[in-house]
Amino acid sequence: MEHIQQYQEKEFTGKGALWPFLKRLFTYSIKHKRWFWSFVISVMVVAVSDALFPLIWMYFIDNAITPAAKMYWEAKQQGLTPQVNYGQLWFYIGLFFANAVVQVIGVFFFIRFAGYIEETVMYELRREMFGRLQELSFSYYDKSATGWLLSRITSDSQRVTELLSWGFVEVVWGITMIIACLGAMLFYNWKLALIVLGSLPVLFGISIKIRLLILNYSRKARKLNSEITAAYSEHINGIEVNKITTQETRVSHEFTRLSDQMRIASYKAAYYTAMYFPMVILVGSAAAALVLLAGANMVLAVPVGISIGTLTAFFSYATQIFLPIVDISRFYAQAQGSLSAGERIFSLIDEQPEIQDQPGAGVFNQIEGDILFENVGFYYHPDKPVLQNLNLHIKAGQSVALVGPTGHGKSTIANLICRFYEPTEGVIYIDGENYTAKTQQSLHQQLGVVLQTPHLFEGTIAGNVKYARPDAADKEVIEALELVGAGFFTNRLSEKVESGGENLSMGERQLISFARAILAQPRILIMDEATSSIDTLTEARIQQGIEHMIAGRTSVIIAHRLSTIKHCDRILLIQNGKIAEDGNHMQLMNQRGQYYRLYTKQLKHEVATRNIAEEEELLAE
Amino acid sequence: MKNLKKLFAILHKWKSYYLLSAVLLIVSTFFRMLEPKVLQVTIDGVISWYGSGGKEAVAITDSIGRFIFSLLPTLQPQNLLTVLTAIVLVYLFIALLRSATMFVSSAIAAQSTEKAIKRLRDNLFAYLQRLPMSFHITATTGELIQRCTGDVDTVRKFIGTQVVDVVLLSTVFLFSFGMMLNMNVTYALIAVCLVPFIFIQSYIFFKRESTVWEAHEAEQDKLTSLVEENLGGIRVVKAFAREQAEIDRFEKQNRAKLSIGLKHVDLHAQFWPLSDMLFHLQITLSILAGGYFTLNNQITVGELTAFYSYIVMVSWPMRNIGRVLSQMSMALVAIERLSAIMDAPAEDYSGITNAAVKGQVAFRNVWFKYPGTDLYVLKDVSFTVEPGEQVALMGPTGAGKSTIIALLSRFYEPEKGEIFLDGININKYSKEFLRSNIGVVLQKPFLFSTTIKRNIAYVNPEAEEEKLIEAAQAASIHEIIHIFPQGYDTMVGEKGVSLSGGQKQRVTLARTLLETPAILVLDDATSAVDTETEYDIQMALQQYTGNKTVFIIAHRVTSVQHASRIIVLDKGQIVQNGTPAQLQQEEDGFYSRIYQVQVAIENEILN
Repeated sequence: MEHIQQYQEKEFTGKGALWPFLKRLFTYSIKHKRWFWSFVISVMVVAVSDALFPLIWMYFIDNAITPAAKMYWEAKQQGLTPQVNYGQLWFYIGLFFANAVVQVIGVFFFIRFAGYIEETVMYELRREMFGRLQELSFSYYDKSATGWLLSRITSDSQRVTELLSWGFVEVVWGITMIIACLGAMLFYNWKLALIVLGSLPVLFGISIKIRLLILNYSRKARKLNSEITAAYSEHINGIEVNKITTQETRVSHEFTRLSDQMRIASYKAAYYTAMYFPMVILVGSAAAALVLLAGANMVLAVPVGISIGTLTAFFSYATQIFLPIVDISRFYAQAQGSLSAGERIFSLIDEQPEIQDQPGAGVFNQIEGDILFENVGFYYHPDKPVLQNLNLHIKAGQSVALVGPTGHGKSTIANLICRFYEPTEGVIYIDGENYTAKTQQSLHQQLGVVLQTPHLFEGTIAGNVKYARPDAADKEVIEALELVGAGFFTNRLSEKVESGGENLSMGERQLISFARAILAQPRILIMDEATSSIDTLTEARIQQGIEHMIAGRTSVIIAHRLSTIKHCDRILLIQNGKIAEDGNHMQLMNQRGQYYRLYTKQLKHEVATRNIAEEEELLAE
Repeated sequence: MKNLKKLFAILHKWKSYYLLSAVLLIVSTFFRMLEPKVLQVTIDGVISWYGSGGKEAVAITDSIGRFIFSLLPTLQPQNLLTVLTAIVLVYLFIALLRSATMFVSSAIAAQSTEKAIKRLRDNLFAYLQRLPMSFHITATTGELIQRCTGDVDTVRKFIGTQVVDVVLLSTVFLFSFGMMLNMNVTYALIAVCLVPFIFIQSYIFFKRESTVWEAHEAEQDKLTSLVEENLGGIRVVKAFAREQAEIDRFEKQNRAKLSIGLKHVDLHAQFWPLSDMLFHLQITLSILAGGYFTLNNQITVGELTAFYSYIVMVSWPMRNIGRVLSQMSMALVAIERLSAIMDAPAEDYSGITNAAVKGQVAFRNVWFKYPGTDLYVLKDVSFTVEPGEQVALMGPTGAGKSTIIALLSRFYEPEKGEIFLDGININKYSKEFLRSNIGVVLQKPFLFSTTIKRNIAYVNPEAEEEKLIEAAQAASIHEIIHIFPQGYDTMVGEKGVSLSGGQKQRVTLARTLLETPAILVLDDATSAVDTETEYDIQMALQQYTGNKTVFIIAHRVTSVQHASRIIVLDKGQIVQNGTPAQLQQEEDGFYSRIYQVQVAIENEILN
């Protein structure tokens, strides 16, 4: 870790514009033309059919029921036996039923297509994001925590695609419903229609206002909820520390404070939710009351203004008109709430990898391994250059150890050779060719890299060794393991490796990652502090293997331990981004410089104390 | 029944508020039932009377309709407007009462829910902290977190929404059915004849849906862990140019998730239209019957319109109750899982809490095996460490070194034998007291994601700055902290800088050194620190360890060279016990083997 790795996640506040986000998001669903239009049309069919029911009811009352009831009454008045005619009744029952069938078909199609769009777009967004993540350079991962990247692929994509499906159902249904209801009302009686129309702005105002309040508090609650999850995770993972330091009571007490903030935020969100429906229902009822007042007057007016059926139809329109508004405003709030998730997704998709293959880049054939740094400069941050004007020539087949204090540029040199980063100044040549003119793929395929913390993938031991060359034979796997001094794995090849390799010891994991690097038959081998976190016995094992590993290829090894570096042809002491000392072990020891001091300081002391101890023993006897 | 009791325990003292909320909800539903009645009274009472010029009698036969009608002024040819205004006022009054009771009911339910859930969360957290290590070692961390967050949320939805829903759905059903019965029994029965089918169909569906949903979640989880693993090893992926292979692997899982997702959609696309069809069939049937009854003058036009409203009301609860019931079965599972945590026995913290600890430690014939295993990790281990002694514990992985520390800290009790601190059996001390006197630096450095300062001052958040820096200096981490722009206020973990293994170890060392207890344990605490820094640390530690008892667990010879005594363990038994010089003499011993490796390295440097 040569530079301070600090995550600088951009805060996505969701304050951006809603419209561009929706526009971009919807290009994904409109792409599936047939699904999209079938979906829109079927939702519209459902909405129109919903709006038709009160109308059918109106005609049913006016044509089938009222006249017949009147005839019945009149007949009875005249003392006759009333004749009941069921023809009209059957006709309207048929209409009801037909409308229901149309609606059911609509429902089938919109559920199907909305669901298909949701799932498919989620699939596409995830594919795009994952693909982009594989392209992005190390510098991107330096500043992005994996947990946050993970949630973009999992939860964020779920949130925004819900907007495309069920969210959009509500909008299309709501708008169609409002238009259809208003249209019908204006057609039958514009005065009563105006009363209902008048309630719409009030309903919209209340809806948007309260919805945004709810959104605000539920956002807060969601944020606190992730803090609570983090607190649980931390204090369950750190339980041993808490017990050893006897802090159980204190942390539990601190947790109650966080938990209380959460309680308040979720209560507020629930409180406004509780307020919302009663309010819109009340406004709807007020409109319905006015319709009742004016409508009843019209029914009784001479000449008759409207029929009883019309009155009942208007009454049900007035009491139900708030439903589409509830739906549309829910979409609005949902879209607002998903805005930051959308920003996170699209910013990832739009992120350009810092290192890209140049157009028409050539391919490295078999690399010899001659590496040349020409006036190379590099910084992670412009104010703090790590390397300046570095010139270095590593001959093909040479093994070079980089030593020196932490934070002075060793890993940077290794990373530059791998082209995980590119020089900010100067040029690096491999086999005499500027490596930026070649593809990354053709370089990386010929690299063998072992990092400080070995990362194993879920699968088997053999699978992990074969990671770089899945088609390798078991024989090759065994050879690789034996070469690095891990021959004891040979009868454990099919043993399961859990995620992260947690069922294996650190030393075992590192041995596997050595074998993995070797099996790839790399032309350039890079080891970045690969032996610093393993125990003495594993170190002794690797020591035997290292000689074989570096034979016949260019190797660059960063290490603190002498057992690792003593096999190298050449040792470079890196200090302040410069090569301070250069030579083989004997040469540097003879120079009596920094290298000499680094490696004798502790050993001297060790020998000295042992001698004292031995003398004391002798005296005691 | 047992679950109900557990649920009541969660609701705690807010039970009565829930009852109040339920009563208000029922009242609110009752008012809602009155609304269609107003339209009925308007048509049958007012419009028909005025429309026929007062000839036609008022045709309201049911009691509720009559009651509403009785609230209106007496009908007279001239007072139509007054009567209509009165009706509208009655209607608005009913709507107002309905809304108000609904609001108050929901607000009370929300408040009680959040309070009960906060209590549940707090209790869980505190309880988890009190559960013994034996519990934590067998439990999967991810699963525990899932229970504390996911399951708690399931319970929250259960008591906050689902219980409310059940009350609401059943009262809507009962009341609207009651309203219909009140008007016409035959018609009422016809209007609910398909309801059992709607209910059964919905219940079966949601049962089925939950299994498909589980499969869906399983695929989703696989996808998540695949991405997690990929991101964790992204540097390896890129270093070996395996991007395309990873993309292919992801593509496969992404497709699997897509296809189960589509299956889930298809299931819904089957259910809802079918459910809608039954629902509409029920309504059409009811209208047919209603029309028949009206034409035969058995019910009035007004009653027919009221019926129409009630038919819709009586059917929809049945479509939703299947959903609520299947969700409730999930909640019951969650409650059970949560109480499994709360039923596990917690640690007992009683015992001696004040004593001047000198630091003499003695193991007497201690035998131990971890709960649930058959293999003895310690076999007849006996040794005594005097106050102020520095003892190194060495031996291969799994020899039982860390177990000795775990027993000394009373994370576990020995199966046979006794452990003494200053001559008193450690089970006489309170665990809290005992542990506060043993400062352990753990093998795996664990930092909390807060500032470096708060991590070092973990034991005593009010520690003075000087003391803090002193501890950091001793742990050789002060210089590095200084490089960070925010110094000691730098956040560590996902929200801040990521420290290397060695840096983390040094911060945890500083944390232990802050409050120097009588016994200090370094469990492989400098394994990831380079030898040079390790040397600096050892030098600085001298000031701290002075008269303290120190245990050092290490693999490297350099780490244990200052020890006054080395105890070598192998397969749970002490195989060597003596000064470094003595052990060096024992040829073929573990210590001399390691020593040889190290010497081989030294020789090459010094020649």
